[in-house]
Amino acid sequence: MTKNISYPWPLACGVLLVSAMAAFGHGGATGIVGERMMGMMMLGEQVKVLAPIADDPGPDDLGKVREAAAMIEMHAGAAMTDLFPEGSIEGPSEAKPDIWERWEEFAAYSNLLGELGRELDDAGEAAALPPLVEADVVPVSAEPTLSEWDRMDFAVLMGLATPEVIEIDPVSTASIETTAAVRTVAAIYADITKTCASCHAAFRQ
Amino acid sequence: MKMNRFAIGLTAVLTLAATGFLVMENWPLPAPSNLAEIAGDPKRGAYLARLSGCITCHTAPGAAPLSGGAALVSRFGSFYAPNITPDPEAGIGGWTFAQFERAVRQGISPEGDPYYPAFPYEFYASLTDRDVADLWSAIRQTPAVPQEATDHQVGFPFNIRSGIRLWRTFFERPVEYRPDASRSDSWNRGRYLVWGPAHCAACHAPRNIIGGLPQSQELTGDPAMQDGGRSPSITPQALTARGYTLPSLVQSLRTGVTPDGDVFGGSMAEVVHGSTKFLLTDHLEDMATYLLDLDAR
Repeated sequence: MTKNISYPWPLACGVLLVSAMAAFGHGGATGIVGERMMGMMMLGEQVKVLAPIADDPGPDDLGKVREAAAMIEMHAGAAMTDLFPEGSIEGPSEAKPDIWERWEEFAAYSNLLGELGRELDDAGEAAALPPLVEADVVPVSAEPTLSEWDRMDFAVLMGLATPEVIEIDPVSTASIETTAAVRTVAAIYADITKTCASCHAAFRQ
Repeated sequence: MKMNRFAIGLTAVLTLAATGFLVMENWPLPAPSNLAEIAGDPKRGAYLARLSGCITCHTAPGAAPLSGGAALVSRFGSFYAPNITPDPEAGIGGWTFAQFERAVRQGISPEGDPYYPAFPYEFYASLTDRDVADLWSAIRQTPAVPQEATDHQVGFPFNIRSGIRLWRTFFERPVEYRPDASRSDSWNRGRYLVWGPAHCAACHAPRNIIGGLPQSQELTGDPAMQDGGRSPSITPQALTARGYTLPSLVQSLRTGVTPDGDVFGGSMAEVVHGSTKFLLTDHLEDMATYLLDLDAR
């Protein structure tokens, strides 16, 4: 069974127009360079989506977090490194030849980004779990809220200690028990941007 | 007769060189302020050490804090920020507070030698007495590390340290902080942070061919930085055109992510991850308020 397309010419023109816009949006890049620049743009879009919500994602944001996580994972790892065949720096490419001289390092960044995408998805899923039932909630002593300055620590500022990793404690809910500690969306997002920055610093002009 | 001429010429050249050397060696430098030691707050000092880039520059990747930095590569050669831990031999444990103050605000070592302007003392000149005392206090509480400093690798003629005395006479631009009563407190604090401890202009102002800063306080970017790279303009007009708003600029300085979802690379990534991400939100907002002010500068 076939489906007839009623308006093939307008559709073809539309596809052509979108392709042209995508190419010109990357300084006229086409072929493999254009493809990877599209990939990078897609990753940038996810970072942009996450930026305002990563610190404290509300229930309505978790879908966006997981969608972004899936996109990051999809464009990282081998999906990214396959778009960098040796010597492909023609046209408006911003890639440095160092990529192929230090391929393992470049691939490690790309793989790490994929792992962080997966971890971000887990964090989004964990955050969407039903809230604790009342019986499981351990009363927390009321502590005064510390100011941003009070939360700063001499040793962390001086680089003598790393900030504590904020982890969600293992929790029991009425129907689900999770035992694995999951990092916060904010911590994973910070690592994603740091990975992008390190990779750009090393391999982008 | 020919021999006489050669001897006279040689004597003249040697006399000129010796005179030049003596003049440069004795070229005057600012007198020490001999500031009396005041009690400092180590936590505030640690915050200033982050803000001012002390930790970023004086710490090589993976090394102990302040035990000496990685190479700062420039067209003049490679400079290495020394060990400034309290180790009495390898670090600055043998210094007095007054010597530290002179080094930071005047760029002059305890031996009376001028530092290369790769050390941004021109910007630290605006630090207050309390700022310097707090920094000193934080450094004194950092563990001492007996790691010898790496010597600068600078070629002739820039390896003649006394030449910096001459450079200072013509190109030195120590920053002076003067509050502008017509602007808000936040704007004034922002200007202090941007032009003082955060020393944004060290990279974002166009330096001349031998590294001098421009007269004007315009952060128009540097198309030919000392390390061969280029820095973008961060004037209010340029930032606004790139889509920056106050919240997004604060966000960028906190995370390294730009409004279009890109991330900073190169030395700006180091600045964010070693310095600005540690800053108080209020201070990032102050800096953004100043940097985005389209009305006046």
